[in-house]
Amino acid sequence: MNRSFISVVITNQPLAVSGYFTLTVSVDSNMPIPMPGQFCMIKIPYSLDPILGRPLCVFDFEQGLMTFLVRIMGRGTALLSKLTAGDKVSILGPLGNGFPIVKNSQLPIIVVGGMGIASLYMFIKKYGASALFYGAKTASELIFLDDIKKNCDNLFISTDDGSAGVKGGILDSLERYIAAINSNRLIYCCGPHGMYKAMAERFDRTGLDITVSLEERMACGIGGCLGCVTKTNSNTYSRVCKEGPVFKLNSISFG
Amino acid sequence: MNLKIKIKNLTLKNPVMTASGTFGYGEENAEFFDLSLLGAVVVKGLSIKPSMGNPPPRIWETPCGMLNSIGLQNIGIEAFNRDKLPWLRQFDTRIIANFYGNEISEFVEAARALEGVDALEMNVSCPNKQAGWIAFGTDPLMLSKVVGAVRKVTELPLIVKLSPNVTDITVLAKSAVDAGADALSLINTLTAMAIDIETRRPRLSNIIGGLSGPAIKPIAIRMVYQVHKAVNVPLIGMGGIMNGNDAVEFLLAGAGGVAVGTANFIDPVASVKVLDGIIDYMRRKNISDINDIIGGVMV
Repeated sequence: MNRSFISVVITNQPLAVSGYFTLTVSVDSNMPIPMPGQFCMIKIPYSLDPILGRPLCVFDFEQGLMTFLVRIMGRGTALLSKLTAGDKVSILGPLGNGFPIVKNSQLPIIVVGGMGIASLYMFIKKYGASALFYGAKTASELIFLDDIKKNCDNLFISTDDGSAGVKGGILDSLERYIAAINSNRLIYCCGPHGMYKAMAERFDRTGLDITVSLEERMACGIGGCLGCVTKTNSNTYSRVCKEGPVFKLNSISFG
Repeated sequence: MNLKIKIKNLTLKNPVMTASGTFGYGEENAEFFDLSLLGAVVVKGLSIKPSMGNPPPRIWETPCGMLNSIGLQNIGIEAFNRDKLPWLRQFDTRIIANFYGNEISEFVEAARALEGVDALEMNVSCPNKQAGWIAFGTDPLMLSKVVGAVRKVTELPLIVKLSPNVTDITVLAKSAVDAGADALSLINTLTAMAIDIETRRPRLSNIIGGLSGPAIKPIAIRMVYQVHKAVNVPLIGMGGIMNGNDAVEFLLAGAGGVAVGTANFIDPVASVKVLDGIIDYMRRKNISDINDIIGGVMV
């Protein structure tokens, strides 16, 4: 199955918050439909510097278009931010496993920290969530909050500076919510690594079924280079690109 | 058009191989193309016992290249023979096992255990436990001993992959050939380092890694050129080959075959495109036999 394509940039839209943009590209008709949480390697064709593609979650996929939500982190993403309509990009994907699709009656609680929305937006849009916890540093970094509201009425917001929702970390709200319910034990989460570590510590003995999406630097994205590994609880290394990026939280070693 | 090349008594249908460590055991790239198109698949470096590899971060991108310190993570020879080799055998291509050890006895044991493949490629850039962890491939005497020991226990074509981290690579090349190498691969990665100036920490957990990609190609071309003049065995050229033109440059410098490495990370089908590019060049130049290009640089 071919997963290597040349796409054309349709729009490159800077967001209100500085350093973020959405890149929308055409989709080859032979490209498999991405699952929520899968990613693509995006590269400016033939460029030797930077030489590697950038692993980006599929943010949205519909009507022959695919969108990536990107934050400028370095030279590679800065170059992607300068693409304009009509420019070509090479796309390798969709890659990785993605979040499992569940029955409507068993929708997960979704927990998003900041840029984690890039990985879970498509899931929320398609399937919704039994409850959504969305945290960020400040109100302006609650990206696409208005779109998400439409798909989830059980919404809990928090910001580090208190500029929106509850002041403080999202996990406090989550912990209170979990204590009050008995039924739903399934959680899908995407956020910074520190948040996963905190979750692993706080929810270790709660019997919650927590699934998270990891982020790592990658060279190939297909499992060949072994550059993106993460340590597991069985003291082996798993490839974030191939066995992941979505893992059970309790399978990851934070040691 | 003749694309066949020979390594000792082994014929490859074409000169394009995969560089060890950039192609796993072939499974990932086989999702993208038919491995039978290649002259040979050179698998990830194997050791007697499985190796976990280094902690992350293991890679760092640099201008026109990348650093890696994967740490030779591999499943071990027993698992390779049981789980990977039978699957690889469905393809009409040669299977070359790259292997390493940290003592001469480990090299010997590994070579013995790998008798089911078509050829062996020795990674001599790994450190020798019994000689203060100096890389085997950086000392002519040490190299001679380890190659000689492996030569005694295998009839398979024996390729020695040279380390470029030496003052004069021709000295090491002669040493390997005199000790029984049937062919030489060059070059392995150049030892290299990068530092995060904000945190003052090295970019790799292992501190030092290996540099690969187009950034090292001119060095690799120079070394192939020098070694081709110094020894009389086939050379497999590698180091930053991204397309057919790069590969032809290696052939002209004296390589009898080429291996595609870092390019596999950018495009899973890169090795096939390299082969197509070589064929295009031969058509354009009206060359009917690949052997007519090898060492054809005019100085």
